[in-house]
Amino acid sequence: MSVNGHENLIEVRNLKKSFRLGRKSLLVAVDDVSLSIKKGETYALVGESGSGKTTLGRLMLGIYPADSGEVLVGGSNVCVSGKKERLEFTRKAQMIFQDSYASMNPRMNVGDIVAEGIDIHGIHCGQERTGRINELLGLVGMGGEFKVRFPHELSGGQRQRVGIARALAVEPEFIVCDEPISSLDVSVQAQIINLLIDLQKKKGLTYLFISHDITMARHVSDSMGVMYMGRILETGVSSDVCRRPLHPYTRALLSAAMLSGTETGFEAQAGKGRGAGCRFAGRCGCAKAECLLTAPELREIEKGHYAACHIL
Amino acid sequence: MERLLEVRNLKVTYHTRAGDVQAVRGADFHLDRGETLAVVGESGCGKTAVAKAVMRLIEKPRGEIEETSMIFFEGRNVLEMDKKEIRKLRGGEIGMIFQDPMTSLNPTMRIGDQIAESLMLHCGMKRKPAFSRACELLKQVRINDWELMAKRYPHEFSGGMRQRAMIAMAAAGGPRIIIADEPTTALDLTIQAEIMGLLRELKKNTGTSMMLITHDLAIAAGSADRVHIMYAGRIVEKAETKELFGNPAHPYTEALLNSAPGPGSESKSRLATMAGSPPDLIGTIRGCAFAKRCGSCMPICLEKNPGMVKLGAGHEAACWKLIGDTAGGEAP
Repeated sequence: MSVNGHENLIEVRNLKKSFRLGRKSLLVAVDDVSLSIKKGETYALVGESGSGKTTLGRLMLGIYPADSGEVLVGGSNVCVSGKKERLEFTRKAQMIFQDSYASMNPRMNVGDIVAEGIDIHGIHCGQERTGRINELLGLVGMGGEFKVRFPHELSGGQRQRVGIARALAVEPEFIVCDEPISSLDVSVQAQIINLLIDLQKKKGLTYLFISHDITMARHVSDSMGVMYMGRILETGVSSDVCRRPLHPYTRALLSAAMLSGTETGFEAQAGKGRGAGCRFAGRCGCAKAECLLTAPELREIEKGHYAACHIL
Repeated sequence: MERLLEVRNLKVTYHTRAGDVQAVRGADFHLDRGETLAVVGESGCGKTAVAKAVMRLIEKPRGEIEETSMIFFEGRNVLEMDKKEIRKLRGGEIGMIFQDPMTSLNPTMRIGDQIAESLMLHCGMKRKPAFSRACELLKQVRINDWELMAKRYPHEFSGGMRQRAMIAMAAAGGPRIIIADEPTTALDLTIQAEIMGLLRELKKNTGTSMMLITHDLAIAAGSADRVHIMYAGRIVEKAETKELFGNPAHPYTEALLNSAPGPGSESKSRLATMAGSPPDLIGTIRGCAFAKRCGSCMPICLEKNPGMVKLGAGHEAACWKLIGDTAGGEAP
C-alpha cells in the first residue's frame, strides 16, 4: 500500500477506536485497520452487525475522533483539522445513511434538505440555488415537484434518492455509503445501486460502500474488505475475494449468501474469541491451538489479496 | 398428499385514517402435509396479512376479512371457529414465528416459562414437567447451556438466540403447520443460514408443514417446495421452486430475479430494474396492478385484471401475455 497522493484518494493507517461501556468494559470497535481507496473506485466494507464497519466509515469522515492512527483524504489529515478546515473538508466528503428517514429533519421540505450543504457553504443563493436543487433532484431521477414535499410523504426509495442528492449538493469527491440499500425492497435496491454506479461514472466519485450483503457489495465495488469484530480479516480485489475466498469467515459469509440456508457448520458463539487470539477462532471450524493464542496479521497470500489467518 | 390448509378468495381490508387499505385482494392457495410453501413479495404486498388471516389475527375494528373468503384448516372453516377453537388453533395446531422476536416475546417473563406456558395451555402439562420439556426444546434448537438460559429473560438473549427461542415456542404445541413470517430478516447472514437450517431440521423431524413468508428469493429457493409470488395483494405466480427459478412466467417474477446480481454478473454493470414503485392499495386498481411497471404492457393490461393461467403441472401465473400465448384461452 504505497503512499501516492495522486493514486490513492483515501489512506487509512492503523486506525483504532474504542468506546467505553460503563466503568470497566471497553468495546474496541475498530482495531488497527489500514486501507486505501484509489480515486474513482469503490471500496466495499462487508461484515455482520457489530463488526465495526459503520464506526470505520464515520472515522473516515472525522465524525468520531480516532483513538490512534490517521485518515488521509486527498493528502490532508481528517482528524486534526480545525473548525475552518473541518468545514472545507465536508465539501470534499459526504455520507449517505442507512436510515434515510432518521437522517432528515422532518420539518424541512425536500428542497431545503437537499440545499442544506449549499446554504452552509454559501455556494448558491436565490434563483441559482433553486436551479441547482432542480438539477440535483433531476440527477437522482426525481422531478422538481418533490421540492415542496416532506420526508414522511416519500417512499423509502425516494427518500434514499433525496439522501443521495443532498450528499451530491456540495460536489464531493468521496462519499461514504452506509448500508444505503438495506432498508429497501429488492426492486428498489437495484434502482439505487444503478443510480450510484451511474453517478460514479459521471462524476468520478470515490465510494466507501458499507454493506452486510456480500453479493451486492461485490457487484458495486472494485476492492473489498471483510470485517469481523473490528478487524479486517480479508481484503483484495472484489472478484478475487468472492471467487477465491481465503479466510474461513469469508467462505462462511459467501456460502450463506449464495446458497442461503445451507449449514455453515458454525455454532453462534458471539462474544467469544475476544481474548488474545484470532477473533474468529470461537466460531471457526478449523481453529488450531495457535489461533487461540495469537492474533494473525494480514498477510499477502496471493498478489494483492490479503488475509489474516494462521491456517493459510 | 393430505390437504392441511385451503384458502379461497381471501380478501383482507385494513381500516386506516387514510382510507380502507385492501391488503389482500383475492388470494387462493393451499398447503399439503409435510411441504414448505414460500410466499414471496415486497413490503406492503399483503403477505403478512395472509398469515395473520390464517391465524385469525385480523380483528375489527382495525381490519376485517371479507365474508366471501374461506379458510379451511383440516376441513374446518377457520373463519367460523369460536373463541375456544381459535385458542387451540393459535400456537397449538398452527405455530407462528414472527420477524421481530423481541416484540413477540414477553419481556417480563423468563424464556423457559414462556415456552412452558404454551405447553401447559396446549398439551395440558403441569408446571414442572412443562419447564423441563421447555429446556429440552431449547436444547433441540441448539442453545448452549439450555438449562441456564431457560431462566434468562429475552433481553439477555442475542437476536439469533431469541429467534431460536421463538422456534422452540412455535414447536412446543406440536403444530401441524408452522407459519414463519420473515424469520431471518433481522438477523446476520451466517445466523440466517443457521436459523433456516434449524427450521428445515424441525420440519424433517416432526413432519409439520411450513408456510414461509419472506421477501428474500434466495431463502425461498433454499427451503421451499413451492413458491407463490405476491404483488399488490394478489398471488401473481405459483410454481414449484425449481420451475419458478428456472422458468419464471410472470414479468414481475422475472424482474425480481433479475434485480439481484448473480454470482457471475459483471462488476459495476447496471442491474435490471423495474421503474416506479408498487401501487397504492387504498381503493381499486384498474387492470393489472403491475401494468405500469411492466416492460411488456398491452392495452388490455390497463383495462382488466388477468386471471390465473395454467402453464404446466402446478405452475400458474396471472398475466395477459400468457393468456395470449395459450391459444386464446380466457381468463377464468
